[in-house]
Amino acid sequence: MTKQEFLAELKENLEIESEFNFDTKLQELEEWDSMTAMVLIGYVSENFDTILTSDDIESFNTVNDIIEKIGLAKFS
Amino acid sequence: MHQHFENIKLEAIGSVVPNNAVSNDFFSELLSAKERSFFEKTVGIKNRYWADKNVTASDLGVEAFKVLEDNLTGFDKNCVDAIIFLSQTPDYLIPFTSNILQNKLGLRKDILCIDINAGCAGFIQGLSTAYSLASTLKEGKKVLLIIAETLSKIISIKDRTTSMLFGDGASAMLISKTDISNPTDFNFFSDGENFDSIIIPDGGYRNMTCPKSLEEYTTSEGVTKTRVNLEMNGKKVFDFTLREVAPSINQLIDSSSIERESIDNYLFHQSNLFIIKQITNLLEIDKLKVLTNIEEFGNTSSVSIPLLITGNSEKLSLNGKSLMAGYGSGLNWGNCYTDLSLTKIFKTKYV
Repeated sequence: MTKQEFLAELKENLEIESEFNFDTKLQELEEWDSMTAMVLIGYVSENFDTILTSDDIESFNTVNDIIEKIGLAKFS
Repeated sequence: MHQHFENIKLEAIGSVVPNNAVSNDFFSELLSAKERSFFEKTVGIKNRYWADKNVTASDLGVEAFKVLEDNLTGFDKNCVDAIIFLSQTPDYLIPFTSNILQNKLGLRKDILCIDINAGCAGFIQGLSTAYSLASTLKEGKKVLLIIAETLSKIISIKDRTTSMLFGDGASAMLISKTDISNPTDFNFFSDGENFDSIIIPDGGYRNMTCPKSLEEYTTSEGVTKTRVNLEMNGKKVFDFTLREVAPSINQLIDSSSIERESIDNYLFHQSNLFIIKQITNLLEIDKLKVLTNIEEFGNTSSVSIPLLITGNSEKLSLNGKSLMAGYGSGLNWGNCYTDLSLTKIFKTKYV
């Protein structure tokens, strides 16, 4: 998966309607709550074999942070 | 901990829910239409049943017991040697509820009464305790296990992170010795470090009830509640279930003589449809074997697996080899494998 595809799939899975790019501040998104956190954890677990912790979620500022946590090596 | 039993069975089970349906419309002030649709799609809850103000969990337990009395041919309640009442919403802090039920249900006075305070893994904990007791009883004697919850009474209806999740219900079960071999395995796990992931902070003796306990406050996330309401760290709980539950089920199967292919049904605690789907994926099992009822009942804590059983009586009577998994407050999780085709299952009653 490319980083661009990851961004698009995240937007679709989390049902984000506002502007969403690699640097969007996640905490400022209207949709960002415990349900989207759950879906994010599930999505990353299914696609990258990595289980994000609740502390990881708290520490994310942007999509780039999520990508970094998953590991750049897992993206093409 | 791992337990193995050979000649004990869940003999009969009956469940009730209060006949007061609360649909998601009730929460329209808490969620926008878009949030509600996302909630229904991911968490999967569309309805739940809430008990009236004056109806307690043990009242529902009495009704569940009546289902057994009314339907179980030849049931003699004088055969009950022990009663276990499992709930997080007992009648009083003192005395314990099973003792009250001894009288209400018209049971003998020479009886063992035990209350268990347990959460969403409670069915597995309670069943294990009941199996353990039953294994020591004389032939024909039975353990009565009543699991009942009225979580509607402990949530803040202004807390969008918990109020829509929970429903009420009760189940009564008889556990006894059997001549038929019924290999049954349990395993249990605990993580007390994260005890505060699901908690009612005040009202016990660590933080005794004081006027401040009842004052409403609003968190930075816009959640309004008091310190005697249930609070849950959803992210922590989700991360825990995803990390721990599937490996613990694999461990039960690998450390016993259970043949993975022979399991007919998976009965996971109904906390959240998304979690159930994730566990199903992690275990790489057939989705058709995974029973759900969360859409109608919400999360009824320890009653959720009993409600799954009494909602699938025909299916389980034919193909009963079942893997059941409970997980939740504590944090605590446990699993049980047993054959439910040996169980007389009565359909869920609305009371």
